[in-house]
Amino acid sequence: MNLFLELLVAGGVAGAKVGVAALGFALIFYTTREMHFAFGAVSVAAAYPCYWVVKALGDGPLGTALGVVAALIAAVLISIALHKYVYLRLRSVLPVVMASLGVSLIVENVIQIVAGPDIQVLSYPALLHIVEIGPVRLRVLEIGVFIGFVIVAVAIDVFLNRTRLGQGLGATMDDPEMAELVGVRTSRMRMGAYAAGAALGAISGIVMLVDTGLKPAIGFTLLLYALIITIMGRGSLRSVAIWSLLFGVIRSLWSWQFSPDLQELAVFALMVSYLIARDSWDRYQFNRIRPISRPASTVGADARA
Amino acid sequence: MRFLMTTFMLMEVYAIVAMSLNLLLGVAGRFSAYEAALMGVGAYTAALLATKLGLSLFWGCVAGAAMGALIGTSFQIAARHMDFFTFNITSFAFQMALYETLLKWRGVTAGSFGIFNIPRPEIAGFSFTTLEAYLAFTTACAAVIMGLLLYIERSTFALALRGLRDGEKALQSLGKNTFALKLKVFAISGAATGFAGGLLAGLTRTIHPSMFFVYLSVILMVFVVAGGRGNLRGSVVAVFLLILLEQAITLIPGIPTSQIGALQRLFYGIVLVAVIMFRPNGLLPESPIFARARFPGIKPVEDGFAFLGRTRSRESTL
Repeated sequence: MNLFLELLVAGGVAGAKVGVAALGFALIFYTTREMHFAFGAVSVAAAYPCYWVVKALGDGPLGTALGVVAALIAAVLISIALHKYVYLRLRSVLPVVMASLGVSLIVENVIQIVAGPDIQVLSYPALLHIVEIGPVRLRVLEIGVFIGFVIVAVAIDVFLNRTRLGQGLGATMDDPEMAELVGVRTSRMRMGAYAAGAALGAISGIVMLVDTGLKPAIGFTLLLYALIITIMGRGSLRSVAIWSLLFGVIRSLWSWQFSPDLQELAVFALMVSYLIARDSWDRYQFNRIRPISRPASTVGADARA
Repeated sequence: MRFLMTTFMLMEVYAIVAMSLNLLLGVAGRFSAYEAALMGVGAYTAALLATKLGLSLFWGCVAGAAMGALIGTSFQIAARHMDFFTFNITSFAFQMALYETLLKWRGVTAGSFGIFNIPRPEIAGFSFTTLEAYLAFTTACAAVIMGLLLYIERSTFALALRGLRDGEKALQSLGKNTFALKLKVFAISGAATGFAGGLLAGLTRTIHPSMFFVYLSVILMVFVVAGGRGNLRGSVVAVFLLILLEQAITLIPGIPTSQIGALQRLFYGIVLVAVIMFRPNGLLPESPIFARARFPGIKPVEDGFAFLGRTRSRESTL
């Protein structure tokens, strides 16, 4: 039972780590409908300025703060430049996918040439201190990441539903043409989504830098998880947050009963099967023959939906 | 000389895969990102049959082609209701799942060690063990497959596939079974890819899963896009040119060996972005389907947002 609890918590934390990046990617993708494949590479690349700044200024509070700011600025600038000067010029779905794959290759390998392919770690002993909560042992960093993830998820939800700006963003996600007609500045909303998403990605890059260490090739794996969770979330940032926690928990609970060696395979196979099953079920629902006679109160409902 | 021959054979193998991917991506407009893993499945099937059962590698390649076709069609059957983005992402996830299977199914694939000493084929008493003989074998196989693919490109079947790309609903209203068309093109493309994987296994004589990582899928896409989507001859030209340039990078003096791989991938990334931005139709653009067409070239793919929920998909279908 203790092992179960421990795995559950570890899974939740792992899900939160991926979840920050997934929320960032989902924010970008739902708002702009651009498949930003360079997201993972840019997130990882943005953590490198943080590493350099901290190495140059020392790991005191000032150096750390400047490092984080440097990472955020780098991520936001690169992403907005990509959106404005590359993706917006292509105007179609498939070319954007291709171009962002190419950009991802470029960013990742430029970083590899500049900084080397080895793992870089920033160690803060205070963050690695182990806290015991009942039977579960966690590092301070992990607790911080989990709380940060919950705060980000709730904040995004409140922002989208309770503020005027957020409602404009939500309108841009739902129906860009109509949003433009009622006066939402959709192009600015897209820029804002890119900035916010890139900042979230940079944060997950920094977490990796402090936690497991950073190397250029990690970006693609991070991106794949974020992509799949985004597609599973179906246009709702709430379900993206829930799915990313579930993703971590399922991944972790797999090693409770089965070989941890097959963890990755199981995760990818489960995701593929879920997506296949979901779309087949949707089509079944869509094609189902509905009863011709039905109560009058439901007749209009289908047409409106 | 050995280096030149090996490079030439590598070009032939990649040319076959790039052409079959072009048939999917360019002609039929079906995105797929698991070509590398399909190649891996073909290579492993051929190598296992050759090493464990002592079969000739040629028949191993044929079995690999059958496996490739089987996996391609079964994935298409499973994913037939997906919209563009979901299919795209699911094919990436499928690539990772297949790669992990090759890596972790240690009882059969020997894990990350890979399979060694793959025997080269022997047909009718003539052994293709030396590099020169294997070059002849590969060239003959590649010529046959590329000829078939070029023939398919000119056929009315490919015309129907182009219709599938430009307007699936229009094609359906003309009475074509678009699902059968998709199955056929995935089978053809999967078979060619699997066969090429078998040829690769005989060429390198050792295979391990890291040869078939996602990067290879992306690089195959670079070949297709650079050569021209919808023009199979273009991808052959692109494969030959880009692999020449890629090998030229290794010959630049003064580069540390650890950076060569990164430089090569950087080169492919730059090529992909440059082609998409400045010459979107590729090196040899697809010729217009009808000679007097007013707007030749590739039309944008119909984008699907069915994943955003049922109400939206219903709107778009009505």
